Amino acid sequence: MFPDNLKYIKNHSWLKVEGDKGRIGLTFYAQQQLSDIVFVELPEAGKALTSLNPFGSIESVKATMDLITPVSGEVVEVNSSLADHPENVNQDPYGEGWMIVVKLKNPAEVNSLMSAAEYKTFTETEAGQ
Amino acid sequence: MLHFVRNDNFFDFLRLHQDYITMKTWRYLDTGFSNGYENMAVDEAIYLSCQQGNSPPTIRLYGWTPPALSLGYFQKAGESVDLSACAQRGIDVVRRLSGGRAVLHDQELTYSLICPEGMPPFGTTVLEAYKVIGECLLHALKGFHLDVQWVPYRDKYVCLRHPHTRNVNCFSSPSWYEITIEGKKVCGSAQKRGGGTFLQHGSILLEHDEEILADVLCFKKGREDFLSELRSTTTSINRHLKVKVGFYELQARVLKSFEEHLGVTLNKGMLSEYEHELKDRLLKEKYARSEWNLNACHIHNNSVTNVKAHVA
Repeated sequence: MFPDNLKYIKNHSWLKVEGDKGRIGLTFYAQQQLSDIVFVELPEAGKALTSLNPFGSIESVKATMDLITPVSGEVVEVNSSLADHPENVNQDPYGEGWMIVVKLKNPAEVNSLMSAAEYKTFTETEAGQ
Repeated sequence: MLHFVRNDNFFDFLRLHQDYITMKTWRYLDTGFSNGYENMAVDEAIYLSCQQGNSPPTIRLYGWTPPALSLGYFQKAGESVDLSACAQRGIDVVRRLSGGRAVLHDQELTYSLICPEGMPPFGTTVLEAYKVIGECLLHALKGFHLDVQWVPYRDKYVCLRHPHTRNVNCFSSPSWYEITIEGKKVCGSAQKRGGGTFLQHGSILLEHDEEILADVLCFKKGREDFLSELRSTTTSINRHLKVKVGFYELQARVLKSFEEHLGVTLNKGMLSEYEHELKDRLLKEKYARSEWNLNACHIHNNSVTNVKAHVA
């Protein structure tokens, strides 16, 4: 549920650093809270993102939610398969459910993101409220 | 483009607004009857202002004039709506910030509730919020001696297994904690979450006319099949009452129920100057524009807030 090789933010996005790029998606915890995903809205390649700001939206059978980028950068890849298979976000959030890849504008931003242990603690605190 | 400082969780909100720590006093807005564009702009203005910590938790009760068809955020107008039929009937078409399917707003009471995510008694999850609000609405309608029930959270996949889940019409798709009378949906709700805030709004039907809905929505099956489906899944309060209930009576009862069940005091207020400004900007840049109302978001979108991204 909380892969150690990823970084996380409180808005439930995960980041996998791949060289000078970062792959971004929604965590297992978040998709579980949202329930079945029916639509995903993602930016076009080339779009400039600013850390902790929305990059898209997601709709489940019960709610729409902003997708928040953990880092700043330019979108270089978009998972277009989610248009026809939004359920991949539920079924494989860290694999086939990836959403975008960004070229990191400021790699130092990664250092301020949560580790798997920190994010796990955060979700437990949130669930206990 | 509107720029905001985002509060990304409930505790950030508290640090900014010590006054609301006990969260025992909420704001109540009675904005009366407005057109669909204005109604949706007001809901979003309050939502955005709450995200910034500039607005208190708010319950708003309102009506619609003229009637309007609101579409879910991802719903495609071209596939869902007969726009010429809407125009002929004087029905506006507006896209919501929240998800879900089409709702025809006419003789109903609409509620919207905006507050920080995680604020008691709502918990942090989508379903917890639906449950709490559903309890408030259930109690309000029971006050009219209606035999109301709700769809319990028994089956996680009840929505996807239901044959009407992908139906163009919101009220054909029952979901957890939604209110029914004799198994038919009488209240439809949708939620939007982000920036540490959630908005849930919904329609409680006083009256409805399946023929009008069949005129303005697009459907793949025949008209009679669609009408038959509507009659089996959708109802309104006054179809079950010998003495009809009006808008203001329902409004008073729902307001009282929210106050009692949330354990808060609802102080009647007004939109702030800032919220008015936001609302006017949202109307101008978004809700009064066909680019927003008629173009659903697709997999590629230049911006989540820039409605100029989509031009047909």
